[in-house]
Amino acid sequence: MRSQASKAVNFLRSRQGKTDMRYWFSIVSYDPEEKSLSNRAYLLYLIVFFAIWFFLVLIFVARGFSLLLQLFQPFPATSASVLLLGLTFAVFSLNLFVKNARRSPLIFDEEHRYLLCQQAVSPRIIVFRWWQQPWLYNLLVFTLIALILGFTLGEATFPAGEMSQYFFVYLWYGFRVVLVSLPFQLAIFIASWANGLGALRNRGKFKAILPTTGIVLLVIFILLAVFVPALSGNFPNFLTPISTFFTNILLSAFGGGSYGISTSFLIGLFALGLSFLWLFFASKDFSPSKAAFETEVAAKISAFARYGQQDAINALRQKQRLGIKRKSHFEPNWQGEKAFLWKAWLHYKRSFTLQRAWDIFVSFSFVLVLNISGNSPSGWFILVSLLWLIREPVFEIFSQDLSLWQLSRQLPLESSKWALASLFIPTLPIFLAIILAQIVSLAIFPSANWAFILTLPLAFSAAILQLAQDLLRKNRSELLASGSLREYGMRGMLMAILCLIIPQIGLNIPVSPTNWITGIVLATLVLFVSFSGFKREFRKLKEGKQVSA
Amino acid sequence: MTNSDTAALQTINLSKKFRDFPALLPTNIQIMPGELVFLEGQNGSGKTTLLNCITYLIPPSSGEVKICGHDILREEQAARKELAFVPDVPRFYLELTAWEHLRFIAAANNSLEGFEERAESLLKDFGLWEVRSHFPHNFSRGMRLKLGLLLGLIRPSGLLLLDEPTSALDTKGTDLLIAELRRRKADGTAILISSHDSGLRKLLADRVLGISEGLVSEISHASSVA
Repeated sequence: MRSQASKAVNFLRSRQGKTDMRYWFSIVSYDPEEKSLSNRAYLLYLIVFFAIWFFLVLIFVARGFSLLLQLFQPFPATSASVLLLGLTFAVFSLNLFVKNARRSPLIFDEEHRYLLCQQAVSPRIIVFRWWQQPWLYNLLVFTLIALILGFTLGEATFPAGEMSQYFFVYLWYGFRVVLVSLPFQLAIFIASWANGLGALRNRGKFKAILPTTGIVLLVIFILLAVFVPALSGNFPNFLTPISTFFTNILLSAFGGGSYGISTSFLIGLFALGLSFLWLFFASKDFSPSKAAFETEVAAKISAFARYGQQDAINALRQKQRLGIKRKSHFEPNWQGEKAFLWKAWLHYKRSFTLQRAWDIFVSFSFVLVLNISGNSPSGWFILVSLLWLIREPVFEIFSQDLSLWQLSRQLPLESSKWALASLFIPTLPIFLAIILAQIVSLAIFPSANWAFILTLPLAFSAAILQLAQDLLRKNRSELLASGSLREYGMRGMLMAILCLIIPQIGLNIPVSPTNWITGIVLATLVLFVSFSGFKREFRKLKEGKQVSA
Repeated sequence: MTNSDTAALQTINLSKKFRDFPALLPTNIQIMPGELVFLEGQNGSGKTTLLNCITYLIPPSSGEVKICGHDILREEQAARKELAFVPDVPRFYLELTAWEHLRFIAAANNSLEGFEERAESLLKDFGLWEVRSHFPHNFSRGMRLKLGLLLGLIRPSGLLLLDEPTSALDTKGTDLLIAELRRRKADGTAILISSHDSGLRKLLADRVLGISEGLVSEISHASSVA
């Protein structure tokens, strides 16, 4: 019975592994199902090509790192490599232990939730057949870092001109780090799973966070035990045995220390054995249904991420942020189009994250930099970069209104007015930051142009309306009615850039004594043109008269 | 609300083609105030397309739509004031709670007067009062459909279009909807329901329209419906 269950889980997981592999192969147009000679030759070509390519990239990065290490001379390159490897282990450990303790290490999607998790399969079988795929992804990243560290030491050790002579030794430098690290990396990974299963079992209780807190403190303590003596030269007595033990293991990955590779490897295997033992006991009471419940969103995010569906990921994260319920304390008597201002305010307030605060700060900083670089092509490039950065927060509410066409289209309001309300709320803080930055610039920089206070908001408004116009042009009512929304295209972006730059060029045209007048007139003109186009596209969208996008 | 001589809904040669596929053949429908018309047809026959074209959620390929005498294109705001449409799968704003959805729709329709009482009564009737501060994305399918119905009922309208309104409702919800539709009908609201629910048709319909491969035809009048 047990063996049948084990075979069934094994079959399921192998099939999923194959699907995963097929996805990665599809990126390089390789079909693993095809058995022809030409297909196998293509596989060989891919292996050789990527091996060489990766090797060259790793050498390139290692060369950069070795130059960086030279800055710390006379600090020895081996010691620096040891500290970097120690730091890598610490970061990986902290990330794995905290991540797997916060939610189940086993991630189940909706299908698993309703099929696998409902079966009377021993949870231990599931756990022991589940860790391999996530571990491989983790191993891949770790291996790359380990190789870079090994090659970095190679770069610092061998004379640059005689590298071909030492080629195999150079390779050994990289793979030696991987070899020594491998059992420890796996041991940490398995231990983080065992700890995660314990946290899952005790979710909501103090017991759930206690072991993780202890492990985090232990990792920090070991890191300090390795770093403090190496950097300060002082060896506090109580740190000596711990420091010696871990430093020797790390040193053996770089051919130093008193342990040697085999001793370190054996210590790693011992740690791995302990980790598996811990996982064996921890997996006894594992509840797949509980895990499925708390990892459903993570599974969806992972599936969306694979196909680059960022909008779907944002929506899922926003749902998580919003939680179950909220009470509005601001319910003004705004009717008609003004109702959209209220809705946009609620939306903006409830989706305000650190990223949004950062967007406002970036807007402020970019205008300061613009005043340093002046009204020139480099300054205009700053403006275009700013537009690129703020386009997402500015369009968030408007895009949602369009994708909820069945609601917004039904309202007895003039479409362009509610659209402006939806664009106005997220744009306002950014515009205030821009104006404030210009006022600050006028106070700080003698060369700052006061006319920017007017031309920047006008030109950015025009640019945003150009993007909105293109968004409307690219979409059709049929698509919007089903909730699909296309992004604006290159044409919209180009027109927006023109709207940004034309008024600034106008400011440079000398019409003495009022040089600023041309810029402001042009900014007003582009805004007027953009607004007219925006209204026209809305009318076309509603009447179904858009040109095919 | 509307002149009793003016049709609440009048479509004149309304048709829709998706590329070369005729989803809706030229259609002429007239529904008078206080009349409840049932629209029947198999899956894919064009029921939802007809409703989407009437509301201009999807612009028709040809024809005209008048809501309570107002052309939906030329006098859009006046026409939309009289029109309420509840789609088969209602969709909601992520950031707004159930209560805020109702308030937003009422405010956008300039119907905030007496909103609190209306909303409380409807939410209590349909069993959503306790979850009024919840976000609809946490609702079950039936609760989402109920909230969608309430968005159509929270404001006065001359014409109410309902697409599969009972598809996910429990028995109590269906009974409440029937009572509410009877009340609206008595108040003079014209109602067009697209549904497969024969029980609902027998209880409510004054007339039944059939649609097959995009062609709308009159199946029965009030006398023969039951």
